Amino acid sequence: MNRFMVRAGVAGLLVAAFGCGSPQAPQSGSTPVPDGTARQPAAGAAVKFEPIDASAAVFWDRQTNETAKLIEEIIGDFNKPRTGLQIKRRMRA
Amino acid sequence: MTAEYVNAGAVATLDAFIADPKTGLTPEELDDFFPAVLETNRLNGKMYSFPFCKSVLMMYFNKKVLSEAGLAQPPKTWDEFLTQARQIKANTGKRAWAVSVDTSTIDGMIFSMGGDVIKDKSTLFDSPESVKVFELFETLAKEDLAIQIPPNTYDDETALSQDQVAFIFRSSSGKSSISLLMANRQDQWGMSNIPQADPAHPHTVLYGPNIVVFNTTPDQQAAAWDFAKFFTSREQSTRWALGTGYMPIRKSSAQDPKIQAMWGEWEYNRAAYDCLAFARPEPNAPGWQEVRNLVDKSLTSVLTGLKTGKDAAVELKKAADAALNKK
Repeated sequence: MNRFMVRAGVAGLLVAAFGCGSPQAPQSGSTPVPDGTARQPAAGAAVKFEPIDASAAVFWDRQTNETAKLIEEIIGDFNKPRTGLQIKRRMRA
Repeated sequence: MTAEYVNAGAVATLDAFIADPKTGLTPEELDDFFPAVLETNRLNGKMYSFPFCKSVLMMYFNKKVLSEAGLAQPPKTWDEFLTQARQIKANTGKRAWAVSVDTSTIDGMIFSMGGDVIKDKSTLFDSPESVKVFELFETLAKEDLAIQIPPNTYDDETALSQDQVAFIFRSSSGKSSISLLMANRQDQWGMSNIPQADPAHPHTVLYGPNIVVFNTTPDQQAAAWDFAKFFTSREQSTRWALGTGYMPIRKSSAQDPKIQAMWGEWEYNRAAYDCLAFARPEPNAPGWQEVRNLVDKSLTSVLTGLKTGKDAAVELKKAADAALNKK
C-alpha cells in the first residue's frame, strides 16, 4: 500500500461529506468546499444548499491513490443496480 | 469537524434515516457497530454523521533499538516508558521517541492516564492526568530523550524505520506505510496499545473521519444516506478494512474469515482491533478545532523548553475554555 493512501483518516480532522452547492446563489461550475464557515447568518441556523449536480449526490473525501480507487469501485458497485440518484465522487483538496 | 458543520447549520441529522422502517437500520444492525464508532457521531443526542474510516492511537516500536538497549519488551505503563527511554539513551545514545505534535496523541495519553479532556463546556487540561502528560514531555525534553519532528511530516516514521528511535505514536492506519518503510524487516518492529497509568483499565483514542450529509434536497439526502448505509454494510466494511488498513467498524466484519486470515498473517495485525473495546472518541464540540491548535502550541512550548509542563497545561486550560465558549 502506498504511504499516502492511509493518511486521510488521521487525527479525526477530516470528514467525508455529501454535499451540494452554495447556500446562496449557486454558480455554474463552481465546486464549493464544505468547510462550514462564514456562509451563514447565525450559528446553528439551518442552511439549505442548492444542488451543484441535480443528477447525483456528490461525495467529497480526501482519500488518494489506492484508497481513492477503492472508493470509486465501491461507489460503482453501489450505483450499478440503482435506479435512483447516482453517487458521484469528488476529491476534496 | 462535524460540530463545526452543525454549528453552521449545514448538515442534516441522520436519526430519521436510521429509524426509517424501510431504509433505516434495525436495532440488531445498529448493535453490530462497535459502540464507540457510533458514539463519536452523536452530538446533543442526535446523529449528525456516520462512520467512515476508523483507527486508534497506537505505539509503534523498533525491536532492534530496544534490543540494543537491553530491553526485551515495549513498556506497558508510562513509568516504565520513562525508565525505558532513559535506558535507551544511556545504552545506545539514541533518543527514545520521535514526537509528532498532535492533539489526538495528547488526548489519547490523557485518556490513558485515566483522565478526560472536556466536561460540558470546560476543558480539563489542568487536571492531574493532563498535567502528568505535559510533565512527561517536559522530562523527555529536559533529558533529551525525545525529538520533535517538523509539523506535517512523517519524519518520525522514517526515524523509526532507520533505527534512530525506539518509539513513535501514530494512528493504527499508519501501519501500512511503516510496513513499507520496514520492508523485509517485519520481525524488527511491532505495535501495541499505548502505555497506561493502569494497564488493567486501558484507554486510547479513537479517530478517523465520518460521513455527514449536507442540508439539500430530500432526494439527494436520501441517496447520500443510502450510500452511507451501503458503505458501512458488513460486506463493504470488510472490503474497506482489508483494502485500506482501517479497522472493521462492525462486529460481524471482525468475524469474517478474510479479516481473521489477515490477522493471522502477522502477530500485530489485530493489535489495533484489540484496542477498539476501550477506545474513546475525542470531543465533538464546536470550537474544538481551535482547541486543537492551542494544544499543539502548548506541547511545542514544553518540548522547546519555553514552558514547564504544569504551566503549559494550566495556561492551555484557560485558552481552550475561552475558545470553546466564544460567542
